[in-house]
Amino acid sequence: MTSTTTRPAAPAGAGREWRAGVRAAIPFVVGLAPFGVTVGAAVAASADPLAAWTGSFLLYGGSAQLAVLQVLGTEGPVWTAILVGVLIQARLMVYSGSTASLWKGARPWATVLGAATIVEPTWAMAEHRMRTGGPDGARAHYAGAAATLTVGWIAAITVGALAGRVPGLAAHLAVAVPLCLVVMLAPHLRLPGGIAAVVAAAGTAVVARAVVPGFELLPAMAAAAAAGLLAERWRA
Amino acid sequence: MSAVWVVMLVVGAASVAFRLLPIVAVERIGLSPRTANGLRHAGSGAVAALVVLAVLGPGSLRPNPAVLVAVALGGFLAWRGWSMARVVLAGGAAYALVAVAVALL
Repeated sequence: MTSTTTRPAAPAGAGREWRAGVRAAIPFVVGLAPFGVTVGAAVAASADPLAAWTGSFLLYGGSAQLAVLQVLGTEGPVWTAILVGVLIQARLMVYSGSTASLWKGARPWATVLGAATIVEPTWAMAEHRMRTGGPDGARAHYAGAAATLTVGWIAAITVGALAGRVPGLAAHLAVAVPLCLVVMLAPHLRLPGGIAAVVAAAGTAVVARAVVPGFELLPAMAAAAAAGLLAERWRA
Repeated sequence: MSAVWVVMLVVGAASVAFRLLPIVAVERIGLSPRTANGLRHAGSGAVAALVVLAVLGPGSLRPNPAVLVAVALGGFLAWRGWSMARVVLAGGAAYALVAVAVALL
Protein backbone atom coordinates (compact mmCIF):
# COMPACT_ATOMS: atom_id res chain seq x y z
CA MET A 1 0.00 0.00 0.00
CA THR A 2 1.35 3.38 -0.91
CA SER A 3 0.81 6.52 1.07
CA THR A 4 -1.11 9.31 -0.61
CA THR A 5 0.37 12.02 1.59
CA THR A 6 3.47 13.79 0.35
CA ARG A 7 6.11 14.48 2.92
CA PRO A 8 8.93 16.89 2.20
CA ALA A 9 12.16 15.00 1.70
CA ALA A 10 14.86 15.44 4.33
CA PRO A 11 17.41 17.94 3.08
CA ALA A 12 20.56 16.45 1.64
CA GLY A 13 23.24 16.10 4.28
CA ALA A 14 20.76 16.21 7.18
CA GLY A 15 22.36 13.13 8.74
CA ARG A 16 25.80 14.69 8.44
CA GLU A 17 24.53 17.90 10.05
CA TRP A 18 22.87 15.92 12.84
CA ARG A 19 26.15 14.14 13.59
CA ALA A 20 27.99 17.47 13.47
CA GLY A 21 25.51 18.76 16.06
CA VAL A 22 26.23 15.75 18.27
CA ARG A 23 29.97 16.40 18.02
CA ALA A 24 29.47 20.10 18.78
CA ALA A 25 27.48 19.27 21.92
CA ILE A 26 29.93 16.78 23.45
CA PRO A 27 32.28 19.42 24.93
CA PHE A 28 29.23 21.15 26.42
CA VAL A 29 28.04 17.87 27.96
CA VAL A 30 31.46 17.25 29.51
CA GLY A 31 31.80 20.83 30.72
CA LEU A 32 28.26 21.05 32.07
CA ALA A 33 28.38 17.65 33.83
CA PRO A 34 29.63 19.12 37.14
CA PHE A 35 26.81 21.67 37.01
CA GLY A 36 24.33 18.85 36.39
CA VAL A 37 25.71 16.96 39.38
CA THR A 38 25.32 20.15 41.44
CA VAL A 39 21.67 20.40 40.42
CA GLY A 40 21.31 16.69 41.18
CA ALA A 41 22.65 17.23 44.68
CA ALA A 42 19.96 19.88 45.21
CA VAL A 43 17.38 17.45 43.83
CA ALA A 44 18.47 14.81 46.34
CA ALA A 45 18.22 17.30 49.20
CA SER A 46 14.71 18.40 48.15
CA ALA A 47 11.59 17.56 50.16
CA ASP A 48 10.21 15.77 47.07
CA PRO A 49 13.12 14.39 45.01
CA LEU A 50 10.88 12.91 42.29
CA ALA A 51 9.17 16.25 41.66
CA ALA A 52 12.52 18.05 41.79
CA TRP A 53 14.02 15.57 39.30
CA THR A 54 11.02 15.90 36.96
CA GLY A 55 11.75 19.61 36.96
CA SER A 56 14.84 18.77 34.89
CA PHE A 57 12.50 18.13 31.94
CA LEU A 58 9.83 20.70 32.79
CA LEU A 59 12.20 23.62 33.33
CA TYR A 60 15.16 22.43 31.26
CA GLY A 61 17.30 25.13 32.82
CA GLY A 62 19.83 24.41 35.56
CA SER A 63 20.00 27.91 37.02
CA ALA A 64 16.21 28.15 37.43
CA GLN A 65 15.91 24.61 38.81
CA LEU A 66 18.71 25.22 41.30
CA ALA A 67 17.28 28.59 42.35
CA VAL A 68 13.74 27.32 42.98
CA LEU A 69 15.07 24.32 44.92
CA GLN A 70 17.21 26.65 47.03
CA VAL A 71 14.20 28.87 47.80
CA LEU A 72 12.08 25.83 48.69
CA GLY A 73 14.96 24.40 50.74
CA THR A 74 15.03 27.48 52.93
CA GLU A 75 11.30 27.03 53.67
CA GLY A 76 10.55 30.02 51.44
CA PRO A 77 6.95 30.53 50.32
CA VAL A 78 5.80 28.73 47.18
CA TRP A 79 4.96 31.97 45.37
CA THR A 80 8.51 33.25 45.96
CA ALA A 81 9.96 30.12 44.39
CA ILE A 82 7.57 30.48 41.44
CA LEU A 83 8.46 34.15 40.98
CA VAL A 84 12.20 33.42 41.11
CA GLY A 85 11.84 30.59 38.61
CA VAL A 86 9.67 32.61 36.22
CA LEU A 87 12.02 35.62 36.35
CA ILE A 88 15.05 33.47 35.59
CA GLN A 89 13.28 31.61 32.78
CA ALA A 90 12.04 34.87 31.21
CA ARG A 91 15.45 35.19 29.54
CA LEU A 92 14.48 32.24 27.34
CA MET A 93 12.21 34.55 25.32
CA VAL A 94 15.30 36.23 23.96
CA TYR A 95 17.00 32.96 22.99
CA SER A 96 13.78 31.68 21.47
CA GLY A 97 13.15 34.84 19.45
CA SER A 98 16.77 34.90 18.32
CA THR A 99 16.64 31.35 16.95
CA ALA A 100 13.08 31.55 15.54
CA SER A 101 14.34 31.38 11.94
CA LEU A 102 15.42 27.78 12.62
CA TRP A 103 11.79 26.67 12.77
CA LYS A 104 10.53 28.41 9.65
CA GLY A 105 8.42 25.84 7.77
CA ALA A 106 8.97 23.12 10.39
CA ARG A 107 6.18 20.83 11.49
CA PRO A 108 4.44 21.92 14.72
CA TRP A 109 5.75 18.96 16.74
CA ALA A 110 9.31 19.69 15.62
CA THR A 111 8.92 23.34 16.59
CA VAL A 112 7.53 22.43 20.02
CA LEU A 113 10.28 19.85 20.62
CA GLY A 114 12.98 22.23 19.47
CA ALA A 115 11.61 25.12 21.49
CA ALA A 116 11.47 22.93 24.60
CA THR A 117 15.26 22.53 24.48
CA ILE A 118 16.21 26.17 23.97
CA VAL A 119 18.66 27.16 26.67
CA GLU A 120 22.11 28.83 26.78
CA PRO A 121 24.21 25.96 25.31
CA THR A 122 21.76 25.07 22.51
CA TRP A 123 21.30 28.76 21.72
CA ALA A 124 25.08 29.28 21.62
CA MET A 125 25.52 26.28 19.30
CA ALA A 126 22.64 27.35 17.04
CA GLU A 127 23.97 30.91 16.85
CA HIS A 128 27.45 29.68 15.97
CA ARG A 129 26.15 27.20 13.39
CA MET A 130 23.89 29.76 11.66
CA ARG A 131 26.66 32.37 11.64
CA THR A 132 29.32 30.07 10.22
CA GLY A 133 27.32 27.57 8.12
CA GLY A 134 24.22 29.40 6.95
CA PRO A 135 20.62 28.28 7.32
CA ASP A 136 20.83 25.04 5.29
CA GLY A 137 20.98 22.06 7.63
CA ALA A 138 20.95 24.27 10.73
CA ARG A 139 17.81 22.57 12.06
CA ALA A 140 19.32 19.07 11.79
CA HIS A 141 22.46 20.38 13.48
CA TYR A 142 20.34 21.81 16.29
CA ALA A 143 18.44 18.51 16.67
CA GLY A 144 21.66 16.52 17.08
CA ALA A 145 23.10 19.04 19.52
CA ALA A 146 19.92 19.31 21.61
CA ALA A 147 19.42 15.52 21.79
CA THR A 148 22.99 14.98 22.96
CA LEU A 149 22.83 17.78 25.48
CA THR A 150 19.52 16.52 26.87
CA VAL A 151 20.78 12.96 27.37
CA GLY A 152 24.01 14.19 29.01
CA TRP A 153 22.27 16.79 31.14
CA ILE A 154 19.61 14.43 32.52
CA ALA A 155 22.27 11.76 33.15
CA ALA A 156 24.43 14.22 35.11
CA ILE A 157 21.46 15.34 37.22
CA THR A 158 20.51 11.73 37.90
CA VAL A 159 24.06 10.86 38.98
CA GLY A 160 24.10 13.93 41.22
CA ALA A 161 20.74 12.99 42.71
CA LEU A 162 21.95 9.46 43.48
CA ALA A 163 25.39 10.42 44.81
CA GLY A 164 25.00 14.07 45.63
CA ARG A 165 24.70 13.97 49.39
CA VAL A 166 28.45 14.30 49.85
CA PRO A 167 28.87 17.37 52.12
CA GLY A 168 30.33 20.39 50.32
CA LEU A 169 30.45 18.63 46.94
CA ALA A 170 27.81 20.81 45.32
CA ALA A 171 29.42 24.06 46.48
CA HIS A 172 32.77 23.12 44.96
CA LEU A 173 31.36 21.69 41.73
CA ALA A 174 29.36 24.88 41.21
CA VAL A 175 32.51 26.58 39.91
CA ALA A 176 31.95 24.67 36.65
CA VAL A 177 28.86 26.80 35.96
CA PRO A 178 30.58 30.15 35.28
CA LEU A 179 33.41 28.32 33.50
CA CYS A 180 30.93 26.78 31.03
CA LEU A 181 29.22 30.14 30.63
CA VAL A 182 32.41 32.06 29.77
CA VAL A 183 33.12 29.54 27.01
CA MET A 184 29.66 30.27 25.56
CA LEU A 185 30.31 34.00 25.90
CA ALA A 186 33.72 34.10 24.19
CA PRO A 187 32.49 33.97 20.54
CA HIS A 188 30.11 36.87 21.16
CA LEU A 189 33.01 39.11 22.19
CA ARG A 190 34.33 38.94 18.63
CA LEU A 191 31.07 40.26 17.12
CA PRO A 192 30.47 43.97 16.47
CA GLY A 193 29.18 45.46 19.72
CA GLY A 194 29.80 42.22 21.59
CA ILE A 195 32.31 43.58 24.09
CA ALA A 196 30.11 46.60 24.86
CA ALA A 197 27.11 44.32 25.40
CA VAL A 198 28.95 41.98 27.77
CA VAL A 199 30.57 44.80 29.78
CA ALA A 200 27.22 46.60 30.11
CA ALA A 201 25.48 43.41 31.23
CA ALA A 202 28.17 42.60 33.81
CA GLY A 203 28.11 46.13 35.25
CA THR A 204 24.31 46.21 35.34
CA ALA A 205 24.20 42.83 37.08
CA VAL A 206 26.48 44.12 39.86
CA VAL A 207 24.44 47.31 40.29
CA ALA A 208 21.16 45.36 40.19
CA ARG A 209 22.49 42.95 42.84
CA ALA A 210 23.04 45.94 45.13
CA VAL A 211 19.77 47.71 44.32
CA VAL A 212 17.25 44.96 43.52
CA PRO A 213 18.80 41.62 44.56
CA GLY A 214 17.16 38.68 42.82
CA PHE A 215 16.17 40.78 39.81
CA GLU A 216 19.50 41.06 38.02
CA LEU A 217 18.99 39.20 34.75
CA LEU A 218 16.37 41.26 32.94
CA PRO A 219 18.05 44.67 33.50
CA ALA A 220 21.38 43.13 32.44
CA MET A 221 19.81 41.83 29.21
CA ALA A 222 18.25 45.21 28.43
CA ALA A 223 21.57 46.97 29.07
CA ALA A 224 23.41 44.48 26.84
CA ALA A 225 20.98 44.96 23.95
CA ALA A 226 21.16 48.76 24.21
CA ALA A 227 24.96 48.91 24.57
CA GLY A 228 25.56 46.35 21.82
CA LEU A 229 23.32 48.16 19.33
CA LEU A 230 24.84 51.57 20.22
CA ALA A 231 28.37 50.20 19.76
CA GLU A 232 27.38 48.70 16.40
CA ARG A 233 25.96 52.03 15.25
CA TRP A 234 29.04 53.89 16.48
CA ARG A 235 31.34 51.49 14.58
CA ALA A 236 29.25 51.83 11.43
CA MET B 1 0.49 17.47 45.63
CA SER B 2 3.68 18.76 47.26
CA ALA B 3 4.92 22.36 47.02
CA VAL B 4 7.81 21.15 44.86
CA TRP B 5 5.37 19.69 42.30
CA VAL B 6 3.35 22.93 42.24
CA VAL B 7 6.46 25.05 41.65
CA MET B 8 7.87 22.74 38.97
CA LEU B 9 4.56 22.55 37.08
CA VAL B 10 3.89 26.31 37.18
CA VAL B 11 7.46 27.33 36.29
CA GLY B 12 7.54 24.55 33.67
CA ALA B 13 4.36 25.90 32.04
CA ALA B 14 5.82 29.42 32.06
CA SER B 15 9.02 28.06 30.52
CA VAL B 16 7.10 26.46 27.64
CA ALA B 17 5.32 29.76 27.02
CA PHE B 18 8.58 31.73 27.12
CA ARG B 19 10.10 29.31 24.61
CA LEU B 20 7.18 29.01 22.20
CA LEU B 21 5.51 32.42 22.10
CA PRO B 22 8.49 34.33 20.62
CA ILE B 23 8.79 31.73 17.83
CA VAL B 24 5.10 32.12 16.98
CA ALA B 25 5.39 35.92 17.20
CA VAL B 26 8.47 36.07 14.95
CA GLU B 27 6.82 33.73 12.44
CA ARG B 28 3.83 36.08 12.20
CA ILE B 29 5.43 39.52 12.34
CA GLY B 30 9.02 38.82 11.27
CA LEU B 31 12.25 40.05 12.78
CA SER B 32 14.31 42.95 11.47
CA PRO B 33 18.11 42.52 11.39
CA ARG B 34 18.45 45.23 14.05
CA THR B 35 16.01 43.44 16.38
CA ALA B 36 17.80 40.14 15.73
CA ASN B 37 21.11 41.75 16.71
CA GLY B 38 19.52 43.26 19.81
CA LEU B 39 18.21 39.85 20.84
CA ARG B 40 21.64 38.32 20.25
CA HIS B 41 23.26 40.95 22.50
CA ALA B 42 20.55 40.48 25.13
CA GLY B 43 21.13 36.72 25.15
CA SER B 44 24.84 37.17 25.68
CA GLY B 45 24.01 39.76 28.34
CA ALA B 46 22.04 37.14 30.25
CA VAL B 47 25.00 34.74 30.08
CA ALA B 48 27.38 37.50 31.23
CA ALA B 49 25.06 38.35 34.13
CA LEU B 50 24.91 34.68 35.16
CA VAL B 51 28.73 34.60 35.21
CA VAL B 52 28.88 37.72 37.39
CA LEU B 53 26.25 36.34 39.78
CA ALA B 54 28.13 33.04 40.05
CA VAL B 55 31.33 34.91 40.92
CA LEU B 56 29.53 37.00 43.54
CA GLY B 57 27.74 34.03 45.10
CA PRO B 58 24.21 33.99 46.51
CA GLY B 59 23.11 37.32 47.98
CA SER B 60 26.63 38.74 48.14
CA LEU B 61 28.42 41.72 46.62
CA ARG B 62 31.93 40.45 47.41
CA PRO B 63 33.42 38.04 44.90
CA ASN B 64 34.65 34.64 46.00
CA PRO B 65 38.42 34.90 45.25
CA ALA B 66 38.76 31.26 44.15
CA VAL B 67 35.81 31.53 41.76
CA LEU B 68 37.04 34.91 40.51
CA VAL B 69 40.50 33.53 39.65
CA ALA B 70 39.00 30.44 38.02
CA VAL B 71 36.61 32.51 35.89
CA ALA B 72 39.33 35.01 34.91
CA LEU B 73 41.59 32.18 33.80
CA GLY B 74 38.70 30.37 32.11
CA GLY B 75 37.68 33.55 30.27
CA PHE B 76 41.22 34.05 28.99
CA LEU B 77 41.49 30.44 27.83
CA ALA B 78 38.05 30.55 26.20
CA TRP B 79 39.10 33.72 24.36
CA ARG B 80 42.16 31.82 23.12
CA GLY B 81 39.81 29.16 21.70
CA TRP B 82 40.17 26.35 24.27
CA SER B 83 37.34 23.80 24.35
CA MET B 84 34.79 23.80 27.15
CA ALA B 85 36.12 20.61 28.73
CA ARG B 86 39.69 21.97 28.86
CA VAL B 87 38.52 25.34 30.21
CA VAL B 88 36.53 23.62 32.97
CA LEU B 89 39.52 21.42 33.89
CA ALA B 90 41.99 24.33 33.96
CA GLY B 91 39.57 26.63 35.77
CA GLY B 92 38.71 23.89 38.26
CA ALA B 93 42.39 23.35 39.01
CA ALA B 94 42.89 27.09 39.54
CA TYR B 95 39.83 27.15 41.83
CA ALA B 96 41.19 24.25 43.91
CA LEU B 97 44.64 25.89 44.24
CA VAL B 98 43.25 29.28 45.32
CA ALA B 99 40.68 27.68 47.67
CA VAL B 100 43.44 25.66 49.39
CA ALA B 101 45.70 28.73 49.58
CA VAL B 102 42.92 30.86 51.10
CA ALA B 103 42.14 28.11 53.63
CA LEU B 104 45.80 27.88 54.65
CA LEU B 105 46.21 31.65 55.10
